[in-house]
Amino acid sequence: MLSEIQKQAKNVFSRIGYPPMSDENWRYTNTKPFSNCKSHIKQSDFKSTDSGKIDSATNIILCNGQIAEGIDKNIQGLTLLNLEKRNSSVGLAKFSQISDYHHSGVIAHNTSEFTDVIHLSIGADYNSDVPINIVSIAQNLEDNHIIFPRIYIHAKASSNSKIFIQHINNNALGAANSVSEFYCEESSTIEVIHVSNIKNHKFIDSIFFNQEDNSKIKFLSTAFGGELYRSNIDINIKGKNCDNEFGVLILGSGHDHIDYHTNINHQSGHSISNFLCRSMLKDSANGIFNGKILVSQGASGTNARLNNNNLLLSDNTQMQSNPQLEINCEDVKCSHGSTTGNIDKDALFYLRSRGIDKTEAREILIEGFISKLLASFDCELLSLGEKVKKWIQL
Amino acid sequence: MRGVLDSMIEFENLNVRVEDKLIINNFSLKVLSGELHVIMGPNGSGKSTLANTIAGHPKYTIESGKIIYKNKLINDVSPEERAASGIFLSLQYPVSIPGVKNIYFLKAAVNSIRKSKGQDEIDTIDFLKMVRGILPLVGLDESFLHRSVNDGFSGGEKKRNEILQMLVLQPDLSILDETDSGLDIDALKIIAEGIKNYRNNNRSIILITHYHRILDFLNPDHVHILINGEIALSGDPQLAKDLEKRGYSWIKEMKVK
Repeated sequence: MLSEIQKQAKNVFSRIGYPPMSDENWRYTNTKPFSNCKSHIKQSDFKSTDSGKIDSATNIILCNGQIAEGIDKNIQGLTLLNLEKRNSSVGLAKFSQISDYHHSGVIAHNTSEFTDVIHLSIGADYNSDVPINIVSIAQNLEDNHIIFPRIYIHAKASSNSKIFIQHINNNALGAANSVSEFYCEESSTIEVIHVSNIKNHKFIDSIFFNQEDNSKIKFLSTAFGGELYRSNIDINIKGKNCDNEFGVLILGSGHDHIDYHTNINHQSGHSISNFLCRSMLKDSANGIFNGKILVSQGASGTNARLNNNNLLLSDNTQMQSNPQLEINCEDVKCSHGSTTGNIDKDALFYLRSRGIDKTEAREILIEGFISKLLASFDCELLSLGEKVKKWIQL
Repeated sequence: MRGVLDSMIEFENLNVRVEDKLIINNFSLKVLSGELHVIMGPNGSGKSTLANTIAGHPKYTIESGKIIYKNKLINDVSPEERAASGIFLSLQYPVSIPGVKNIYFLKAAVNSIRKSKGQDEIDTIDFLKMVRGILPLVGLDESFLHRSVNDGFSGGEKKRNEILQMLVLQPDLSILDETDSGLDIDALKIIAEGIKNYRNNNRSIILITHYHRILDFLNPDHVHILINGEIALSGDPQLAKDLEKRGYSWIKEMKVK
């Protein structure tokens, strides 16, 4: 029962609370703003000028953690349940089992407090190019407010889907503790593009994937800055022969603090994971990338790559990069790497020597830096390319 | 061959520093419209420094002296303005720019130069037509346009890409910094043909090279030997052939005397 889970989670949270900065995984990010938030509000009517809706997509709107707009028509293969419906239906599937609230105060807090949930099932017969666009809006929150968006997506065997998740800030201060779980059954294919633009909101965004044999995940997470943005991405490759491509794009400006922690766990063999994180920081922005690939015992034949490249556009930015590999079996192919640097002066001169002015030359080089990452994902409907271009020009 | 004998570029007692080191030392030279000047010299004599200084690389500081291009002092003019006024540098080591397509780069360059002249952006179809017409001249196929600038190109492909840019941009003054280095004989012929194609009475070329091979194709007007940042000897193309046999030491000795 869900109420039982929420009760347990509450106990866990009151026992361990949010992780302190003495915890190695949280050494750069202070969770005080989250534990200090006492009240949370329920609100489901949204009045946002930027609702993040896309005409040609299937839209689902979450406002301050409550479903504000569900799917308005019957779409073969898609089932959306909210908290009420989910409580009355039988079985929890993998809900709340993919994220582990027993050992994480962050997950326990969300699990104990969420007031609504997007529970989306993608049926075996679902095979569509039309993206499912989930928009989570934080609206009119005061400094001590906190919201708990909660998403569970179950991709049934052999389904093929495309999902957008956008976190949008509409005049919200305060904090959000969001948890999203993805369960990918055998031979399912899922492409997820996740974009957060949280401004002066504080945000912990935990995303979990659990995948079975022969499934494919393409996942891109993009952070357009934020006062405090912490992303935890956990990918558990349980199955064999999975083929995955992961991307992270960090764009930090002003005094942004963006902290990405990613864990990829190859539990069985013969799966591929290709992970690329690129970040660009300007002004006084602060970025952290802590990425790990764990190859468990018995996961022979794993092919995993982890790369992080950072471009610092001003002298006052800071990037902490820590790519790690932990390999516990033989016969695997793994690599990791990290580079951090400024704009290549010789490349800049090269462009200028062809008549391109300095500002445009810089923009061309910066766009070139991220084009490899964006080119791997289909993000046209989200106008991600244009948004990034605008960010560069600001 | 001779057209209007206007001055294209003039150097007056030029001194150039890189960080704390003086590389170009009291260098003076005048290049007229339509002329092809060759600059040779041992490694480290300042040839590439001279080339980069003409194009305005910010790493090189003009300590004293003048560079006068088309009768205007350009010492403090930015690289992009120099390019817009018709100066082109073919780099000794063309830079790779991953993620930026060659065709996009070329178009940005053409449009920047047009913009500085108050012209509208070039029509995409006209632009492609022009580039397609030039590609065979440098022996490159169209796939090169869609690859990242110089990324994963062979040495010869990079040099041909430089000549492609020169033929697209149609500059008035081209500085070719060892554009003939590291090429096989066929590629050398292609590069030489590209340069011949470009050359006319209103354009000047400063060609930096170590070998007389390319000069056999090009028939230069003057050959200068640069040693320790200054011209130690000037002569006709025969000088390049003499160097092939005798090396540079006799010039150095001659200078000491």
